Amino acid sequence: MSASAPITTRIGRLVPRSPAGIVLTLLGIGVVLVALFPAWFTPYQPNGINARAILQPPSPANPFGTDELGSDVLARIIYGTRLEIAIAMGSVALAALFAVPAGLLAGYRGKTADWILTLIADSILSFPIVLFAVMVVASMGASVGTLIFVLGIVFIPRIFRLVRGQTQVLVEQGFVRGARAMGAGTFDILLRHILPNILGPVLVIVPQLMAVAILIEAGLSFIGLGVQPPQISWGSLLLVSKNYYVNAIWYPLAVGAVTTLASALLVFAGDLAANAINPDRRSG
Amino acid sequence: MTRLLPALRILAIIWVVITVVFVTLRLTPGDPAELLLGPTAGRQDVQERLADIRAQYGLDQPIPVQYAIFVGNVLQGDLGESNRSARPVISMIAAAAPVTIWLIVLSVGTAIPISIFLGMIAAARRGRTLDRGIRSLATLCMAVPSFWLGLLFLQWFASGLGWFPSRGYVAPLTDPGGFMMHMALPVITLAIFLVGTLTRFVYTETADTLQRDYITVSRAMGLASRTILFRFAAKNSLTPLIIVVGVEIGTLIGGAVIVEEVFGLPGLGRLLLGAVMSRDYPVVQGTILVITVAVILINIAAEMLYRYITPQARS
Repeated sequence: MSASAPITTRIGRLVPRSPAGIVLTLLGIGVVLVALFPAWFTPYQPNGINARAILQPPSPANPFGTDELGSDVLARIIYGTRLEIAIAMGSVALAALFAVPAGLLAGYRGKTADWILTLIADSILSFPIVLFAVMVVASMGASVGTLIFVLGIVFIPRIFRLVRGQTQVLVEQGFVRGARAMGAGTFDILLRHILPNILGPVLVIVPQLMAVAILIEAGLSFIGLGVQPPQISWGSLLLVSKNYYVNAIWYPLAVGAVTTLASALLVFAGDLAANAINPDRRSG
Repeated sequence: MTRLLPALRILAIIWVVITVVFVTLRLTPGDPAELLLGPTAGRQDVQERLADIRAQYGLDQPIPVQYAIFVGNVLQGDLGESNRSARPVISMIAAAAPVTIWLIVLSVGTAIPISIFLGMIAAARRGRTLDRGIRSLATLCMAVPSFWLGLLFLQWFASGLGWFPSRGYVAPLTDPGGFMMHMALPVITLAIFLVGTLTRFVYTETADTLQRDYITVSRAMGLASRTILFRFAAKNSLTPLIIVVGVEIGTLIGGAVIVEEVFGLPGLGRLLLGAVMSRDYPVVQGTILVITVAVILINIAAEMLYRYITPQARS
C-alpha cells in the first residue's frame, strides 16, 4: 500500500458534492474575490465623503443606506471584507504553524514532551479568549497585528489537540509501523506518512475557527480593543455604527446581519465538512 | 502517582497562568513601576511614589526575585491596589463579582431548559423540517454577535417600547423587581448565545442515544415515543450537558464582559475594561488572574461532578 492512498481518500471527501456544499464553496470563493478585488463589486469608494447624503436610508443606489459621512454602507462592508479575511485566515495559519508540528511531536513521542506540550496547550485553553485578548491588548496596544497574534495563540491548543489525537491513533496503524520497521526516520514518518493523513481533520475545523475569529474581532473592535477606525473591518463598522441605532438603524443592522450571516455560514460549512470526512457520526 | 497526576496538572496550569500574567506586564513597553503607578505618574511626589512601588513589588531586584514576590503576594490573596482609587484590588473584585455571577447563573438557568427542549425535539424529528429549522436557529444563535443583538434589544424593547430600563443595575436585595427588570435584557442576550451551543450539543447526544439498542428494544416493547425520549434518552444525553456548561464557562465570561459593557452592568467585565482604558494595571492583572483561576476550578468541578454521576466515566 503506497503512502499516498489515504491522502486521496480522506482529503477527497472534502470536495463538495451536495448542493449545499457546492453553494457554500462558490460563496466562499466569491467572498475571497470580494476581499481581493473590492472595486469589482461596488462603484463607491469606502471613504467617499458626501455631505449631501449623510445617513440616508436604503435606496436602489445605496441598498444598505449611507453612513455618517455619506459613504455607501455596502461599499464599506465590502472593503471591510479584506481585513476580516486577513484576520480570520492569518490567525488560523499562524496557529497551524506552531500547533501542527507540536501536535505531531507530542502525539508521536509521548512521554515528557507530550506532558509539557499538553500542559502548555491546556494552560492556553484555560484562559477565557476575551480575557486573554484584553490582557495582551492592554500591554501591546490595539492593532490588526495584535488581533492576529492573540487569535493565533488561542487557536493553537484547539489545533494541537486534534493533531496530537490523530497522530496517536495513526502511530499504531500498520502502515506507520511498517515504515518504521523498514527503517524510516522520525522526520520521514511524520512528514510522509502521518501529516498527509491528518490534513483532512485539520482542514475541517478551519471554518469553525474562522467563525470564532470573526466574532472575536467584532467583539474586541466593538469595545475599542480591536481594529481601530478609520481602518475598516466589520467590527470597526459595528463600533462606529453604535451611535446610529436611533436615527439610522439600517446602518448597524446591515453590518451586524452580514457578520452574523458570515459566521453562521462558516459554522455550517464546518458541519458539512465534518460529516463528509466522518460519515459514521453525523452531527449536523 | 497516577492518582496524583491530575492534581499536579491543575496546579501546573494555575502556575502557568500566574506566570503568563506576570510576564505580560514585564513585556509591556515602559517601566513596570510607572505602569503600576498609572497616569498619576506626573505628580510632584512621583519619584517618591515610584520608589515606594519599586520597594513594594521588589522592582529594584532581579527578575527572579520580582517573580517570587509576585507569586508570594498572589498566593496570599494580595493582588495589589488600584492605581486610581488606591483600593485593594481584591475588594474591588469582590464588589463587582456578584453582578457577573448573577448574569451568568440566570443565563445558564434560562438557556438549559430551552436547549434541552429544542435539542430533543430536533433529535426526535430528525431529518424533518422542524429539525432543520431548530438546528439552523441554533447555528444563528451561535453566530450572532451578542453586543449587536443587545444593542438592538435596547433600541427596540427599552428605548422603543419602554418595557425595560435601558441601562444600569439594582441589587437583588434592595429591589428584587428592579433587579429582574434590569437583568432581563442582558440575560436574554447572553442566554441566546448559550442556547445555540447547548441545543447543538443536546441534539447530537440525543440523536446518538436514540440509535442505541435499548431504545430500539423499548420501542419494540411498545413504549410511547414520548416516554422513551424523556425518560430513557434524556437521562443519557443530559449528564454530559453539565460538563459542556462547565467548559463553556470561559466563553460565557467573555460574553458577559461585552454584555456588561453594552448594558452598563457594574460587573467584572466593566471593572476590567475600565481598568484597561485608564491603564490601571494592578486591576487588570488581578481581575484576569481571579477570573481565569475561577474558570479553571469550575471546569474541574464540572468534570468531577460528571464522573460522580456517571460511574462508567470513572476509569
